[in-house]
Amino acid sequence: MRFMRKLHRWLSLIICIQVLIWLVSGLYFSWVGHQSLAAHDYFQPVPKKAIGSVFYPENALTERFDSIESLEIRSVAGTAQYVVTTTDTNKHYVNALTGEDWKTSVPMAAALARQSYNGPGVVEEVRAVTGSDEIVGWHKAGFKVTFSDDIATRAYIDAASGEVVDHRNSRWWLSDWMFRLHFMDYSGERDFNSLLNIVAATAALWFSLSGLILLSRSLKRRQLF
Amino acid sequence: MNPRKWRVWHRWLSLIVGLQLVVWSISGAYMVYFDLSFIHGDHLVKKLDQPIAENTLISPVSWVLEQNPEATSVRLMRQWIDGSLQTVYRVESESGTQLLRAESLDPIHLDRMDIGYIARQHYTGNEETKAQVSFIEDKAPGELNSALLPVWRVDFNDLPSTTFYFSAAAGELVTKRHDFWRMFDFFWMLHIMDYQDRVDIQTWWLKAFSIANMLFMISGGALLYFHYRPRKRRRRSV
Repeated sequence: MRFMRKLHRWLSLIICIQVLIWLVSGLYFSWVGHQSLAAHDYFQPVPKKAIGSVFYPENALTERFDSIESLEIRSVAGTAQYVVTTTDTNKHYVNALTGEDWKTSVPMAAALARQSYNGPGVVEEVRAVTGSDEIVGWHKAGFKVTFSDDIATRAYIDAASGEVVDHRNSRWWLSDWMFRLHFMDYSGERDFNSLLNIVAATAALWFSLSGLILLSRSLKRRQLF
Repeated sequence: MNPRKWRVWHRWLSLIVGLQLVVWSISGAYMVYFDLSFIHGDHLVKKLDQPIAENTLISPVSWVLEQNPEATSVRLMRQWIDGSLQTVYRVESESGTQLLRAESLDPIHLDRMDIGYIARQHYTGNEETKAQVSFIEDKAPGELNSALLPVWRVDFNDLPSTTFYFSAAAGELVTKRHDFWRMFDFFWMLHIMDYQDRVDIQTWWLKAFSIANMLFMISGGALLYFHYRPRKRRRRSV
């Protein structure tokens, strides 16, 4: 039992700050909820529309691209678009009216952002960007569409595909840091299987288990008063 | 307060709220120890990457659209029908999804045999493993998002009890589950303390336990202080 006491005390010195961080960030998650944590306060999926007219034939595409795995046609902001997926998992986006590579214009980016938005604001600014610090893993050309609402919502639009990448807002910074602290992944990638986290989780596990053993001992000896 | 009082407080708090800290550390450790892609069961499925042959005979997309003016997505892809890989159109509209033969544009209805065959093509485990195919129309099991219904369910008789779910209309793999995922989901339930639907992270008792455990930590901190504080008198055993 002396060993358990010592173990409990030593582990507490090592891990107490991180346990406190887990409690604070966990409380924050509980307070804010799934939707706001994802910066989806005013987010909605872009409604799907009927495809409409297609002038460029699909057999021109099968000649243009090798090793096609699938070929989809859909409507993006009122214009038909081909998505060609090749077996190397690359995607190519083609305008189905002209046969040219898909291009997203500034007004189109604004329209797409509005379709993904259900808040009270209006589009304030559309800016061309290349990736964003706010979105891990997206480094491509696109647009940042900012709305005039209480939390400065911004929608990111990918230029090559015309897809809404995601929303961000003024609370994002705090939520993101809470995740970094909770997962102990300070890169922002939210990988909670890192070696650092495994070591910390093991320490915390033995910290709490040694406490549990000490408690059962106290209960047996009736040391609660 | 003297150290003895703090210790009694620490014990009482450990009994009332500290046990949840044990639950959090066990469930958290499980989630940290197993790689997330393993939990998702990515190792259970093969990537299928045969391209559509260039000389495949197909009806043009414009015919599909003439037949289905409401379509929101039309996809030319491959699927196993009657045990062979065929080129098909997958047509999606508000009223649902449908598979058409790419050449004749006749509708395809997948049956139990087709799904069993498709499941075999995806499965990375032993080919001899027995499997049961069942159809789920309403009532989704707890491990399946009910928005994905209706689905075919394929249960493999292997060690981690692998289950694949395929969309009813197109036979596409929508979800995969195995016992390590199910265990993860159970621990997730314990971690967020939503014992009913395992989704709500905003319950008042989760907040209450978080705050109470912070107080518990403070009582422990006080004990640490009393143990390590500089003392004027010579050390005596407490």
